[in-house]
Amino acid sequence: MYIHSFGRFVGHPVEDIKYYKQDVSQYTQLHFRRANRFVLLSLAGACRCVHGRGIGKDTGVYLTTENGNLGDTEAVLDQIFHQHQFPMPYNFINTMSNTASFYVAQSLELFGRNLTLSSKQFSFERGLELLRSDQLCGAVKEALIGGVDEAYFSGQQFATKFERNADTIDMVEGSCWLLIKDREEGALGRVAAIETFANMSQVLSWMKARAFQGPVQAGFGLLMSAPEKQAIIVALPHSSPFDYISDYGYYDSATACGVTAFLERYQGNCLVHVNKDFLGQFVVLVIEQR
Amino acid sequence: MKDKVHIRGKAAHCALGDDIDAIVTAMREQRVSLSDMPLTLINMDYSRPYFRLSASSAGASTDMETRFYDVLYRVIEKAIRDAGLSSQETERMAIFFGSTSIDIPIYEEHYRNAQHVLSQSASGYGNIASEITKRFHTGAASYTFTTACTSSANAFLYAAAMISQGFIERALVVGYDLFSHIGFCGFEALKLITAPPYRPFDKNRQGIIMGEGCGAVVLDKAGGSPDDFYFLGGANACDTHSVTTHDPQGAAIAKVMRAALMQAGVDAQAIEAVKAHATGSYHNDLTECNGLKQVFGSQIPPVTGLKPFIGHTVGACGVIEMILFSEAIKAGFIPPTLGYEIHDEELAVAPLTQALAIKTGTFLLNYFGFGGNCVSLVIANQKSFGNP
Repeated sequence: MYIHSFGRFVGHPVEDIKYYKQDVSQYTQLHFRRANRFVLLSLAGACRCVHGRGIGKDTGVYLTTENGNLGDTEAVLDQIFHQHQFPMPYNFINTMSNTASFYVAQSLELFGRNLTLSSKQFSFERGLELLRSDQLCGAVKEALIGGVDEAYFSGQQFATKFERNADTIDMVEGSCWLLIKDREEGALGRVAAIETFANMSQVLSWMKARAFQGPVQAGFGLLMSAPEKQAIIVALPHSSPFDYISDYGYYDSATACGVTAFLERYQGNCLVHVNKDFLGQFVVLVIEQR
Repeated sequence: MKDKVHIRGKAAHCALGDDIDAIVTAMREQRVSLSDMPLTLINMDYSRPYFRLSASSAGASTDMETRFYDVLYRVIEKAIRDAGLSSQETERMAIFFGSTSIDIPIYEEHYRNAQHVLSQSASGYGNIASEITKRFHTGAASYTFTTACTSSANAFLYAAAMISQGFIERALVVGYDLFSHIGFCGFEALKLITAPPYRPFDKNRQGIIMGEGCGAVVLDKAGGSPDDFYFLGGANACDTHSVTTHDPQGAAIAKVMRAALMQAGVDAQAIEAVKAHATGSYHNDLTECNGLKQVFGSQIPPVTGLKPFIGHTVGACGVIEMILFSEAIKAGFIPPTLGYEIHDEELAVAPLTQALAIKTGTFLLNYFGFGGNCVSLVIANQKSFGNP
């Protein structure tokens, strides 16, 4: 899986939806009158990724997200349960989480595979696994894959989920995408490995047995503890920590943000990203950049 | 595809019951059980039909969260038992979950007395698959597909592909959608729900009738019994015509059917019968029939739709309809499309009006959904292809 370009749209939420519509209008002539925040957020990242590039009509779209259209879903629940009204049709349609991946495909005229996928903390990594499977069976030669999530609505929501104080984290929204092809020519780098492990000792054994290309940046998911991070740094020779969450803030599919930030900053380096979920499982993602 | 992937175990719970043999018998006897759902929550004095899980089998608890997981876990337990998995085999089983409503039915109960529940406490789309992982002590990965009405069909497609490629040993594929007010009121707001009878492909069809259900299959390289079905190939593609309807000419749908046949390595002529998506909406049926004519020409194999038996179970229909279709064939028949009476010249496709006697073969299953999502799957049983 060769990475040919990337696009990143990350920041604090802006209340006025026109901000997003204006941003997206730089890249597409389609008008998204009824589009919601999540749809526009998805478009903002995906359009940046392919801006100025020709991509094939059979390009696949893999949108990974943990929460999808939370805002519209809440609005529809309010319409039904508190206003006792039918939902507005476009509010209802926007509750379907794949509405955003559809609009990405429609705006870029892409007729290939189209998926919306979640896997808790590993959504982006699992999306890459599905793309790898599609490339292997020849179903996809070229694909856009993104990690998109709205910002947490409140510190309480974050604290409930992560059982940690929200004050320590800058909560942002994000939409970060990669254009991945099966062709090496012209690539910025490649996805060298995606591996799942049941515990830290398996992670460390795997790292010790593997050679990594060039200086290594070690990135970490939010649930990685300080001792776990330290053990990884020790296990990786010539590595230095890459704390993209401190630099850009946190949203639920933030691994995608880490990868795009790495691609922007560290030519010739290798990213080893270690993520962890609430069940104590680990996923290691290795990106090698030219 | 490198290796065949078998449906080693299965279980389903739908409006026809929660026992596979009883469900097949109900289809053979063409029995249905349709409920009325009032719209009092939104101050309307009328009802709409809905295929509910039968009360006796739907879990006794009145607490929504308990009932939600009771139904889910019972179906999964049965599927694992049917597959005859050892605890070691279960540990190495990945989870592929597909749903439209995910856990919204649980949150909806809280909205009766509160606001902003979702934005204060949403645990994310991947939560149910994570709960399944915990409950059944599976150590492999989990994937949650949310592609509207194709959700669990996509889950099946990717599980089978990843087993075949050797990335995972086996998979539990679950399609699950319980009644949700968002879905029910949303489809009614779009004027898509019809009064009975439910009659896909009929000239007088007027829309869909929704249903709830849960289906689970265990996929494995090893089959359970000689007549178990196996996956031959499948495809997914996006029709960018509109977020709610596909291109009525059926070009995208034809493309995905052809891609599935190619992936399966079979010609259109090898297909014994088609399980159509057949929602009963004017546009969906027109589009699907136009696609079928492009793929099969004048030699369209027998076609049937199963939604008149159990309703449109949205994201769950991928797995549930596959189980009902394949188990009916194992029992010797393909059920007719209930409710179909008057031929529609515009469709020019007549579905089965009587059960078709058949025990083996290669079959095409279609699933389409909002967001332009199209999935076709090709399955067969061993007798038709010799021993794998």
